[in-house]
Amino acid sequence: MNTPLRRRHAALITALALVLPIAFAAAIATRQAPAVARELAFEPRPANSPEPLPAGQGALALFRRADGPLWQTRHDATRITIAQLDGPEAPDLLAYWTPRDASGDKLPPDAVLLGPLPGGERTFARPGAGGALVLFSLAHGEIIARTALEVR
Amino acid sequence: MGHAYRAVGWNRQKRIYDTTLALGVGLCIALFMALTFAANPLVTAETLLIRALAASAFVLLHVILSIGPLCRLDARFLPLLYNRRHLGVAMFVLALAHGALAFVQFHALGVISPLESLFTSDGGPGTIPFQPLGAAALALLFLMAATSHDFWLRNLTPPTWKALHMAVYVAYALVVLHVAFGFLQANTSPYLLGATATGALWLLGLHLVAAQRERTTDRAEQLARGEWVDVGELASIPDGRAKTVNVGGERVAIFRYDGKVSALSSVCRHQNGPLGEGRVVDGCVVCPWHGYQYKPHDGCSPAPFTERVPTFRVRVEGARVFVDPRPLPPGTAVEPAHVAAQAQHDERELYVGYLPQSPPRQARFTRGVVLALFAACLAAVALVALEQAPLRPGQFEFGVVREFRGVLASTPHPHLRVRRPGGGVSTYLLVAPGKHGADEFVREFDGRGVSLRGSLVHSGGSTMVELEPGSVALADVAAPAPEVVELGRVTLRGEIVDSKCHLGVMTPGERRTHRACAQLCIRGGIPPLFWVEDERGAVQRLLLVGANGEAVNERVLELVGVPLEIDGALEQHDDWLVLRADPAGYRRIQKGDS
Repeated sequence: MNTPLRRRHAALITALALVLPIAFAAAIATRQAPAVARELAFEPRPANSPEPLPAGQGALALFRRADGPLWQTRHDATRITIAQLDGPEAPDLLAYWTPRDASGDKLPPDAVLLGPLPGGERTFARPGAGGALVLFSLAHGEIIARTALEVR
Repeated sequence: MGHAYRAVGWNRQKRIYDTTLALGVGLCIALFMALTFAANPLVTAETLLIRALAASAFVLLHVILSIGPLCRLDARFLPLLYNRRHLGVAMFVLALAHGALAFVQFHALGVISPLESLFTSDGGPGTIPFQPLGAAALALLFLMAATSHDFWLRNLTPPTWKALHMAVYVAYALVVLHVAFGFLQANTSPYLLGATATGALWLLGLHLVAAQRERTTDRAEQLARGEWVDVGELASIPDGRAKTVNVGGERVAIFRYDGKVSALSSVCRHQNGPLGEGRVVDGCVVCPWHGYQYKPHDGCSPAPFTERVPTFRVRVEGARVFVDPRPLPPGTAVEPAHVAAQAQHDERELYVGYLPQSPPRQARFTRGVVLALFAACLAAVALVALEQAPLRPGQFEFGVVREFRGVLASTPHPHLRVRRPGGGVSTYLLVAPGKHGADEFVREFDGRGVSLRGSLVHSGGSTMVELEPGSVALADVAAPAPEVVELGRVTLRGEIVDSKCHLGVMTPGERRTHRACAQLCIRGGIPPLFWVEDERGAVQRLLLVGANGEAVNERVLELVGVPLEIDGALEQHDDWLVLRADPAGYRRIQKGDS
């Protein structure tokens, strides 16, 4: 470079060395942490739902349909606890209990709605002995997974 | 005088250079996408591309800006400089692709023009919009990429061209601030902050050190202008090389070759490269930057080339060399001073880009540097990929159209109430394609049973349908009357997000980087949600309405995407939580608020 350009280059770099760190520090100093709620609007567990089964209690079953998400259920005579272990969520997922462990893609007409499964772990009161658990996506109109509920 | 355009003159070194560059860029993008996808399998393709392109361009910009000062400090880096313009154009293409994708993703398909959105959507008190900073940087990079060819270099003249291309430093500063006021606001990993700061300090430090060295050299060699200037011992000039002195503020290169001494300007006509750091090859002075040649006695490039540099009269008295500091017109032949031929040649190698082979030691050094650069760039890209804030799961079944049946309601925002087998109702929010609410498509069906078609958007039990316009039709469907339960007053902390992006159309669909898009969506009628997350990561999404249950879209625009506290009445409408609160009472949480 010729001398005037070299001088201009040096001046530009010096100005940058002065201004950029200040502007960068200002950007970082003014950034705000995300708002963390002190509490949620209310506990996600509806008031009339039973307490979750304590860990290690109840009959444990892992189940999935084809290559769908893996589910875990623990259940005893009065409660069914359901949790999704992997895979993507299904839209508008509802949990049903059916008196018989029927196969097929349709929701049995005698299926009893336990409640929605919006992610995380959910515990429902068990409507009857035996039977099967059916997970049904209302938005997709299809059964996502099912498992027989054997009582130990 | 104009110059005609000639296509790039390819040679072996340029092909190797560009192949290495393409490989490096490809590896950076692939690595970023693979690591991001492994950690966030539900990430959308647009987000993957936008971020991978940005990370690669930013890293490449650091490489480009390092090459100049590295070459000033050690001539063995010169092979990196030889085709640096292709690095610059490649970086611009990456940045342009990043900018174009982000522009379409965040600013298109709204109720205002994308350009207006780009420059107005991210505003509001206490907020510095980061996207216009990126746009300004891109405009500067475009100017440089568009004029990178020798056609422009010759027509603009080297000093003007070099001055224009110094805008790269301004562009770099704008990019750093674009990152600091954007990505780093939402991605708070100290490693990301540290990496960005380290990159800036590395570049600024390197340039300052190189500039200081130039100043020191100039000062040491600064000679007063007189009729003849003593420039030192003849023995201080190695055969085939030059000694550069600063005479009256300009550099003069005094070459010793084949028993002769000649002096010419040290400023190459091509890009103002340092001729004095070149050497005499095949009787011509060769510029170390791009291999331009000049005959030492007259400063003319060998035919058919026409470049010419000023020459200087030179004489040798005893063991000392004298130069007349008054430059002669470019291309003026000057009789060289004759001296005894020197038996000992300078063994330092000179890289000349258009020769088929690089000197062996230089080639080894270059390979080592390129491998080190690959490692550094890939490590930087991997760091950015791994330290991104986790992306929230959400899904958009783009292109998958399903039919839904239920009872339609249009207030406060359009939604479909779908009867659940076994009792109860599921509520699906309805929106139109792009960044538009669905009001105009559903108004006439309020309270009626309908069938409609659309694509699902869903996350964490919240469901939305992007309506296929014109697909709503009356149907024999019923649903129970809406069940509304008052849950009392609450004071909640969270962030206003647009429901469509947040539930899955974009990942991330919240925080600083998404703010402009969220504002545009909400302005277009997409229902605003108040997104609340507690310390355990448990999330609730509340449909945000005014104190009387009315839509509040236009009143919350400046409060979108920032931490807020809202005091309001909480209600459960079927399976949706609704927060009723007058926007006048929404409180922006300031830094340090407990």
